[in-house]
Amino acid sequence: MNVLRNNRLARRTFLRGMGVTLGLPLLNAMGKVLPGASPEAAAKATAARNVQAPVRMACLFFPNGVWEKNWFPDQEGADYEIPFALEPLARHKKDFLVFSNFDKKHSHQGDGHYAKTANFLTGLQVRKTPGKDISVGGISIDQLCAQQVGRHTPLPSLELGVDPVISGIDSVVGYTRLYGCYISWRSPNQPVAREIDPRLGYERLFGVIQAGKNGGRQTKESKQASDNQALLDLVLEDANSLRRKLGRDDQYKLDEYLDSVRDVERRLEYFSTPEGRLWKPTASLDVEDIAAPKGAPGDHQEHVRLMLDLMAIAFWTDSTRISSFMFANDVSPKNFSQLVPGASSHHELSHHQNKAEKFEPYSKINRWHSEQLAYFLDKLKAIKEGEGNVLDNSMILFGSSMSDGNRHDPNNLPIILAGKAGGKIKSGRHIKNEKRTPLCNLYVSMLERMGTPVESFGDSTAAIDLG
Amino acid sequence: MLNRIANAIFGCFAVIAPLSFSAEKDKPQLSPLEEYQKEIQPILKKHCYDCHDADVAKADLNLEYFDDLDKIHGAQETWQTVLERIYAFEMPPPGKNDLPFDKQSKIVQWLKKLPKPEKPDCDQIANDRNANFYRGHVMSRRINRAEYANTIRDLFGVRVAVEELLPADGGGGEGFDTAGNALFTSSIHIEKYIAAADLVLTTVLPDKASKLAPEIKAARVRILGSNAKPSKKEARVTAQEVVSRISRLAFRRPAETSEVERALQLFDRAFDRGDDYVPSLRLALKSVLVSPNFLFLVEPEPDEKGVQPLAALPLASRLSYFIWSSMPDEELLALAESGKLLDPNVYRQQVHRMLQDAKAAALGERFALQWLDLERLGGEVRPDAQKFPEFDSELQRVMLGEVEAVFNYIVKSDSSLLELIDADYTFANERLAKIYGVSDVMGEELRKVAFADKNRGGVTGMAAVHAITSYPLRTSPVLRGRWVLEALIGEKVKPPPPDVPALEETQEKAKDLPLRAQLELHRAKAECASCHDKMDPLGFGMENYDVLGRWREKEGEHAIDSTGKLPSGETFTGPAGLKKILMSRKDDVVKHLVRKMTGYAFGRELNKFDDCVVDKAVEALQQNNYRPSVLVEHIALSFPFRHRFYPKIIVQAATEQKEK
Repeated sequence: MNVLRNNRLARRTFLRGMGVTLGLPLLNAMGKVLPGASPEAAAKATAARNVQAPVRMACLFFPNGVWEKNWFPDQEGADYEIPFALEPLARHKKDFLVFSNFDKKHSHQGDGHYAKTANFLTGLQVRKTPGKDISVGGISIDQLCAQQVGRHTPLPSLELGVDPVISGIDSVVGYTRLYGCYISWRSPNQPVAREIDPRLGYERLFGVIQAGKNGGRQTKESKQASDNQALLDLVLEDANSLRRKLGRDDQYKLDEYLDSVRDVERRLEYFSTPEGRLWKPTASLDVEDIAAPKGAPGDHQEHVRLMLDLMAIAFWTDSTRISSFMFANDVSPKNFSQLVPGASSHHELSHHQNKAEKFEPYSKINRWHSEQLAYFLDKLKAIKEGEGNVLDNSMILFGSSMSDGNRHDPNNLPIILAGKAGGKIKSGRHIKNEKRTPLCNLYVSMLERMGTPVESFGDSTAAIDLG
Repeated sequence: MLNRIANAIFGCFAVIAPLSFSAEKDKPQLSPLEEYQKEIQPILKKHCYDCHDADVAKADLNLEYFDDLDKIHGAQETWQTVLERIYAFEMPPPGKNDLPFDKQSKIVQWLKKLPKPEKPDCDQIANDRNANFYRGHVMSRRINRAEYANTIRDLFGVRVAVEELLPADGGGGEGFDTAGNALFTSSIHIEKYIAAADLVLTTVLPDKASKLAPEIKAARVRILGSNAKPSKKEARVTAQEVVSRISRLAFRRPAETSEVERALQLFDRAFDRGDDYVPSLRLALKSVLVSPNFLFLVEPEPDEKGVQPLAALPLASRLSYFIWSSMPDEELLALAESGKLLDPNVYRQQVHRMLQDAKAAALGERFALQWLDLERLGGEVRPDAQKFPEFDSELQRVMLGEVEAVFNYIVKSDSSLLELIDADYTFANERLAKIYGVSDVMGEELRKVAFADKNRGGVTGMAAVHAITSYPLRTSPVLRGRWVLEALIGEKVKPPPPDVPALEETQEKAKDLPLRAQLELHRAKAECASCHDKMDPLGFGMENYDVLGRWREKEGEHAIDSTGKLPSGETFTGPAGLKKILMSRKDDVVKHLVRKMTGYAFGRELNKFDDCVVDKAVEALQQNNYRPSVLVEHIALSFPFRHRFYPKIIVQAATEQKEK
């Protein structure tokens, strides 16, 4: 226990360099525990009450901005008319908030894409570099949560995508292209790799690594899991003795390896220790009626939906409470002609030059993205949980890192927040912010609802009143 | 237009002009500062400040800032660029503050007198003495996904499909996935490395020796060594021999006893609980494949800090991952262990031997495809499936295969690298040959095909290039021109200005004009012109190729006009003409290729200390018929490749303490 506490302390100090100021002592994510209460007392207090389902958070990113005229509602409040690009979401109108005038001030400099996307969830400056000294200024909101509430679940967080990370640098603007491929950052300098294959993602959730949870029952898989645990112990020894032989510059890369091995160890341990959660998900991890998907499909929409299914299942089984998803890498030239009549390369169309022949299909591509969100919300709604459903207990952030793709504007970002965070959000409105309101203000409000409050995050100046 | 042609013609005189100007002795001698203030600054003010003053500072260039000579001398590289752009008639952009001929030559002459950026000598690498606040690069880097797959192949002699298990890697440095700083490790990697190790070991070391494919059988025999079925008593000693032998190959150096013992703990764990010998051994070997000693190209820090020569073993790894994208083979490893590799003659021999090895195909596969930015073909960049149903994953493979095959043919036959531009042959199979209109190639195998047609041959005639530089439904002369400039000539093209309202109105009216006419309207705008004048003509030279690389004379109802006119005034027609233009700029093309390969080999961004290596390599190529072996040897023998910088910082024991 002491070890854990020390770690936590160290982590808190560490976070200060990452664009985050932690306020109150960390609250237990599972219940309304008062600061200062001992864990035991808190557990009892929570158990006495009806245990509330935990809040889940997902961050969904789509590239290349939007055709604003069809995306933002004209009216404020609850009685707004659904704009064209959001029409597929009409059936969920009561379950999400749509915002206007969110801005990311640190993205006003730099290039059109990379300086805006890499920091979508950090809100700080993206360092211009073709690869050395990569930095997005701070930790991303999902990873911050994962560090704090991730210990309650088998996976601290689940990072998903559809397209592989692309190699190369953009020599014109002087940024490595990998900035356009990651929104989840474990530290200012370390992106988190993501899964793009639905079958492998499924195995990650329900495969060998879970086998340890069988406890006493010895199976082939549980043997393998405990072997892996022993193996990682030894590999860590290898890494520690190697670390001593390396120079300063090389050490920090090996530290990524060390941290990652420890993460995997932690997952293995999770299953070999008694269940610590008071709250029980409605579906258990070994649900047998969830069919494993077969590989990565060629069809883009199918692929996207399989990944979103995976996320829904992960939330349902409480395999994780934090997830991020990229519909595509930024600057994606994906061809939409099969999915959206009249469309072609996404990035090309986003440079619409105010020509109808381009902004119309561009806007339809935006609409297609909303349709996928609607599909995902359907899934979450269909999973009953307590009095409500999983969507009621979630916060699904959906948006892009620029407003108008033609101008690469980082102001008036298209942002939706779906779900009620367990009753802590009054959804169903269009919130029109003051101009230039930091997007990070929303993140502060979200962090509070995750039970991981902060005083500030990124370039935040206040919190957004979500009702 | 006339004015521009005149500029282009008279521009020639600017080169010889300095003589006549410096002869003006009777004029009162101005001090250098006075000269700048009285003669140069007014020109800049009139013709450049509109865009490059403190307020606008387009392209981050604020000329107003330079009010004294110290500031100018402190920004040599900036002024070098100013010179290049003015000299090439690219600045000021045509139609905007046109620079009269006399002023142009005056300013060019003055710029040429400025001290040139200093070129350090070849035996240097950046370090804390010669570069302020120098932070080193990550050199003990993780092997990337392709290298992992190749290393597994060479370690066990069997190709296992591990690549799709692992996450893709991003690129850094000069644009390659060999840049240590840009190779990250996440927990998902560790999980995948465990899964991959399981897959590999169950494939190459199955429980039973019966009914195995010959290559698997051979691999199994090789791993197990002389005693494949040790008795219970012999088991541990035998396992120790196997683990130690495999670890040496996997770690690319002799394994330490403690490391072997560590892996054997896992053997004991399994064997003691009653598992058979082979599965117990597999568990021990699995830890070898997940160990950082396998996954990272370790360059241990020597006692002496600062700039140090690399020891033989890490040098062997650098070399083999450069040429083979894989581990050293037995010969190279043995030479490194004995230290003989440090003998320059032995080292040189190894370079040439390795280039002749089939594994050197990695240069085409890993270097050439990334250099030419073709890796995204079939992924993010993909011809439309309905309009181009011919494009499938098979054709994608063949298209990329052609580029690799031509590159590797040049390497293997050590013929001129300029054939990348103007070869009279390519490598094609039946499908690709059909695209090229060549009828007598049969079967799936790629083979050498000669072209009589000057429009084919060289990368600008290759289908993969045509496809990657197209939109899903149509070709794009702009993307193609930009590709030629960036991938081949090594020029950077600024992104388009965000909003060009005037253009849209004109374009609304011009809807039915051919693409060329529309683009010409676009170029009428000065701020667009400076880049499009460079890009578009090059791209139009390739307009005869459709999205899939097929020849065409018409697009829709419009005949293809593949003539191009460059800012220099040079004109050309079609792909054959474009190739001539590129050959006339072969020094630029070669220099860019050298930079790229050097960056690939060094695994980092190049800096000014590497310029000398690049320049010398270009010279060596010019004197040796552009033979690839000359380039590879030059890079491998260069000072930065054989040395590294270790900063003098005491390593804090604190983090290690934390582990305990």
